[in-house]
Amino acid sequence: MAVTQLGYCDAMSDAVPAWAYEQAEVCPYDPRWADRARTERERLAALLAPWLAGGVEHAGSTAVPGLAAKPIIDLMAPVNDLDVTTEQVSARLAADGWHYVPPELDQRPWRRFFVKPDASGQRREAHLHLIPAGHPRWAEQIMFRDALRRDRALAQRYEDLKLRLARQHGHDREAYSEGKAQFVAAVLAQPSHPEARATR
Amino acid sequence: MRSRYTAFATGDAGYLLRTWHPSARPQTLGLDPALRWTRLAVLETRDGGLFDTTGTVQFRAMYIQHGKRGVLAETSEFARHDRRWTYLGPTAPPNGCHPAGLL
Repeated sequence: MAVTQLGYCDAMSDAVPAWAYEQAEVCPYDPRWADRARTERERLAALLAPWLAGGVEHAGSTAVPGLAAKPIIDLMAPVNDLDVTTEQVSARLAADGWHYVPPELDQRPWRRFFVKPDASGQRREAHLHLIPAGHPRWAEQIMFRDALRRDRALAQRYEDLKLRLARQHGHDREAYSEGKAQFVAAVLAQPSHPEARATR
Repeated sequence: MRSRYTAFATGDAGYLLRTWHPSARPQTLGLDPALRWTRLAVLETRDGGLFDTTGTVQFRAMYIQHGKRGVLAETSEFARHDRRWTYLGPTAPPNGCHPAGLL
């Protein structure tokens, strides 16, 4: 996500927020990420209760024990109507520290995206993805996370691949993403996860 | 430090919040039941004595999460607040962090 794009979401001024400039670092796994996710999940469950179509989930790399990751907690919340919900919850999410990134900047039309900076405003602490209930992306995220959680060797292969792709492709984000997508697709297609094939 | 470890081990979120420095304290704290702390080893302490206002503790904490063992290593910074020791956070990004680049 480009810095200038994130700057746009600070609509009250032309200033780009510091957290958008952040040079994120990849850090060794920290089990306290699970506590941070738990904390956010509990807050969001209370905050979004009337709109939730299911439980708030911890997804992404920080949700896999042992995996190195950018220390930004990814949370997914299932909702019934994406746009109606977004309109209705934005104010209460903003009051709890979440910044809305509009879809035209996020470039992922299937979700609505919020970023929570830390107290210093320098770093991103958490991402919130509102996703329509029953959307295939939801199931894929959960299945991929659970496959890596089940199999530490698989998680290690994923980590090694990401490091290798980052080295090989320098600043070619497309090639990097393509390499990652192939791995994800292969994991979801594994016969040992029959539930994965059902949604594909 | 040791009492905070015990609070993590016993799931005492209230104690953890009370012993967090106000500048770094989260508003609420949930503790993941799938995470179980099993042992603490304090490797080195600096300052943190009777006449100090700050101190650091280098430690390794062993845990089991989803049935798998792991170790957390950190050097934590503590500061006195209202005469009590409170947790500020790690002194520096954990060892082994590196620029994310495309990751």
